[in-house]
Amino acid sequence: MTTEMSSMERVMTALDFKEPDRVPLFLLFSMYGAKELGLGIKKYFSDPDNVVKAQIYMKEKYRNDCYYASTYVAVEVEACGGEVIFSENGPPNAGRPIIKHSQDILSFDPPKVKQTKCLLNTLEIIQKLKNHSDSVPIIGTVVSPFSLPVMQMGFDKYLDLMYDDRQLFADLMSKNEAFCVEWANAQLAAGATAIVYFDPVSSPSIIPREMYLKTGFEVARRTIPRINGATATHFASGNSLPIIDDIVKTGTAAIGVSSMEDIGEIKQKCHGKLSIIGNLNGIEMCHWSIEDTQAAVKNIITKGAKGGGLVISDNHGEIPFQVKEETLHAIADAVKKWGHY
Amino acid sequence: MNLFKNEFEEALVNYEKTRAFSLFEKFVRENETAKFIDEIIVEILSSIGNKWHKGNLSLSQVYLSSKICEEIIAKLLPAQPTAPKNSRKTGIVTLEDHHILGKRIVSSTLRSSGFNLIDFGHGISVERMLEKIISEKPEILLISVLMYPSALKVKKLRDELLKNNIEIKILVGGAPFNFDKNLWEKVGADAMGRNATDAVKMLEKWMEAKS
Repeated sequence: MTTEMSSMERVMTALDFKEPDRVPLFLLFSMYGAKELGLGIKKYFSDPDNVVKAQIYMKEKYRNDCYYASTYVAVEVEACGGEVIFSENGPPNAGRPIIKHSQDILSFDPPKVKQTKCLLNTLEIIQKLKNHSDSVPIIGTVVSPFSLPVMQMGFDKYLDLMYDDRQLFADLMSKNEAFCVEWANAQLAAGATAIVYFDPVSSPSIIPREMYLKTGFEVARRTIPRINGATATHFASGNSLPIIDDIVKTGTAAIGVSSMEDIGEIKQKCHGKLSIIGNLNGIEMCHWSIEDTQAAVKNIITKGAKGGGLVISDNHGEIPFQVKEETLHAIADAVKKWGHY
Repeated sequence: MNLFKNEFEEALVNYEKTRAFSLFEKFVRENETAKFIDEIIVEILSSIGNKWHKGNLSLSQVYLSSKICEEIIAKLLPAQPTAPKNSRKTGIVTLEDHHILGKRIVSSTLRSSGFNLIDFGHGISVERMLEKIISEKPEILLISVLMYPSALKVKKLRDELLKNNIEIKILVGGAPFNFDKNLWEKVGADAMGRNATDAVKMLEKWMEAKS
């Protein structure tokens, strides 16, 4: 029996493909903190202290192994001058696209991190969490330069651009890459331990591998090495199995994988090359019984825990607001019960 | 015929627009144009949708294929007006959010398959949707969502419809329904489409039941 490790030791050991005291658990709480504090989601995110308080509280309450410094994905569109639509029970959503016509790309100016209030709020959250504890990994997030245009210009227009206008596509990537690197490095400088690089558009669920190799893969190969810390590429529910060997070449350390894929198969392809973060079904989790929860956690541990390289988490990168407290406790209980090495 | 179908499907999934258009032109020189819709487009888009569902094709290929087919139909229909397949007034909407790709794919596929649709837009709240239903009186509503909270809004819409004694068939689709197979029932929908092809099949079934 290994002595109990701190969250930082546990996670670092697992990411080094060694077996820690137990499998680490990342409950990626973004807006869920608002529920815990009894605040509306907009009000919750308006003050960095709310997020800091909730992250510290939820880490203890649910035996979580990280602080998730991400506020909401649409913050990057807000930083670009876009609208964010807050709802009472879901993630703040990007409003109407800021790039309405592809020609707007020519005049589009990516945001400057140090001059953008909503991004500075996130940096403040990270700094305060870092001041609170050095023994808990702080997870920062970026949307990949390749996936950000879905929010910047709308999915259909972005696919049209990707397939029909490679010059403007390249111009947009160049601008987004510069912003992504600056934003990721600012979070690392503020105290983030690692960066989740959300890149759902690169998933074979969204584009074929041949297109990925010409686009998202090249973008990741240019961007990830310029980020001054470890990254985990997350496909936000999208599949990744057919491109795992390619993802390895981007220099990322881990991948967030879909519940639609078999964790055993993923483990077999990734072991020793990429750690796995996943793959609890975040949507079904909203109505899981205790037995469902135990079965789901046990399945991941049985198929994926051997030899380290596994962090249990949801498949989308965010715990939905509708997940019950009992379910979260049941996940933590199951990890404790079956996750010991 | 099978060789032609394979070739046309290949042109669509590889986004070879010129090749797809020349294949279409060659076909209609030798066959009735209606046959192209019924026997080629409907079948090929169905095959593409199923391959996407099984993970053998990507969403971009589904989108671009349906887009090319819609362009072909647009070229075809003004010259060869045909009666729409739907005997019941049908609308489509993206409820609550602005992620419209799903709606575009389903709209393109349905239009390419001979259905007329009212586009109720995107980012539409339940209250606004209710107003639109009251004024436009569709008998069938297709709802596309991406976010889980938007999926839950379908329940709110159904409750409002019941309160107002409005009978309408609701077909839902989108990621939350693919990740939770029973969600469509919980939100009070009449059916769920895993892809655009399912939407075609369900509409055909509902139209048949009506006639």
